[in-house]
Amino acid sequence: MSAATTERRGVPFGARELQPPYTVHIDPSEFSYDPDRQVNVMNADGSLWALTPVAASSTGTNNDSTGSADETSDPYAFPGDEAA
Amino acid sequence: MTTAPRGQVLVVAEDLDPSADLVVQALADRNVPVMRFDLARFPQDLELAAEHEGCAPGWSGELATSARAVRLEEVRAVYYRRPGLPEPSPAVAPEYRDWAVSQALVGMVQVLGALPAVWMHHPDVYRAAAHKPGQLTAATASGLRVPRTLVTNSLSRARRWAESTSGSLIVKPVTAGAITLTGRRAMLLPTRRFEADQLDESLELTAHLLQEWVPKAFEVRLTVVGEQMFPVAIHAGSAAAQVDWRSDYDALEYEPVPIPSTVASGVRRFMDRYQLNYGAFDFAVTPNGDWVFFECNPAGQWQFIAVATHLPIAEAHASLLQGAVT
Repeated sequence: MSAATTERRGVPFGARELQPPYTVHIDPSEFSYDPDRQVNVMNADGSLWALTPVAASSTGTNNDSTGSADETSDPYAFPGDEAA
Repeated sequence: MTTAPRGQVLVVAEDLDPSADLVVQALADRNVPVMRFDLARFPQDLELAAEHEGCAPGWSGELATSARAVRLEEVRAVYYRRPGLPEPSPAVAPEYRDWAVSQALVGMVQVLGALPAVWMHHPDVYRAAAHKPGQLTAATASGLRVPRTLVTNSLSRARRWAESTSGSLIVKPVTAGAITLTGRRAMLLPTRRFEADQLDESLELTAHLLQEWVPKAFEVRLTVVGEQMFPVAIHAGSAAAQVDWRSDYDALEYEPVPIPSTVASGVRRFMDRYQLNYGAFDFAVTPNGDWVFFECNPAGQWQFIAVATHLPIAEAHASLLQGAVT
């Protein structure tokens, strides 16, 4: 795991020791989104990318994903707030 | 209101979402029609036309991409999993962009939310169930054991409370919230173990959630889909993972385990209280075998557990979305 933050000044007690989230590095050339099947498939044999060991953690899926992880804010859950 | 058969399942997720992939495949295996899209494609590449009559309740209309279309009256379920934000056309003036995003987001989500369809991760349900302070009350009211907990911004109260506990403490965020340091991507704030004499004035900078440290034989990620429960032990092989297993996935081993009936009953009561049909629960199992509830993520990830254990979690999703089970 990469080094956690050590800064103390102005950092609330509970926000110390931030870490980069666990990420899985993937090779986008190995798979692609199949618009007909509506899933990501391995280019080599059409098998599901989701069944490969890459996949997800409970944090970010990977560096290329723009979706929120469990542990970061999820504005999509709060459309009312988005409108406010 | 139309009486047309409701057959379609909408999967609202990013394209690059392996959990959504597994659900789509499981539905396809059952010949359930699916339309998958990302909200980020709305409004530029996705067209919504929803009508509501003056006296009869219910939305009708169409949702269409260039490749597929679905009648809103035929939607039987919505699987909503962390989609992207709507992306307005560059033709929208910058000053109006945020407004356009809000209109698209609420317009789409609330129309779909008003359909008489099964939802997984409905935003309103998620919101009501997502926060730890309420969860601790709901869990104990449901018969589950939780750690002794203090939420405070008072250092003196924290020190007195800490003295009343025996042993180490932990601090973790009251709620999820991204911290982005300049020049770096979003960071993870894991649970941190500490001793009482380490408390300092920085605790008074905001609200903090402190808990007694719970000794663990192992932790359990319990994935609940409808009536089906998938309890999996997480064995942590590093010091960091023993405090917060999210900190070190490479040090984890997964093992399906039985769940005590009393815990299962408590979990069902917890889900009933929040009207959840899905939950990713985190428990500690103490060396004495007691299960201690930490929290429930009402839209938590499950694919990493399914792939590691071969448990039929995707199939459980498909059954629920298909309407075969509740």
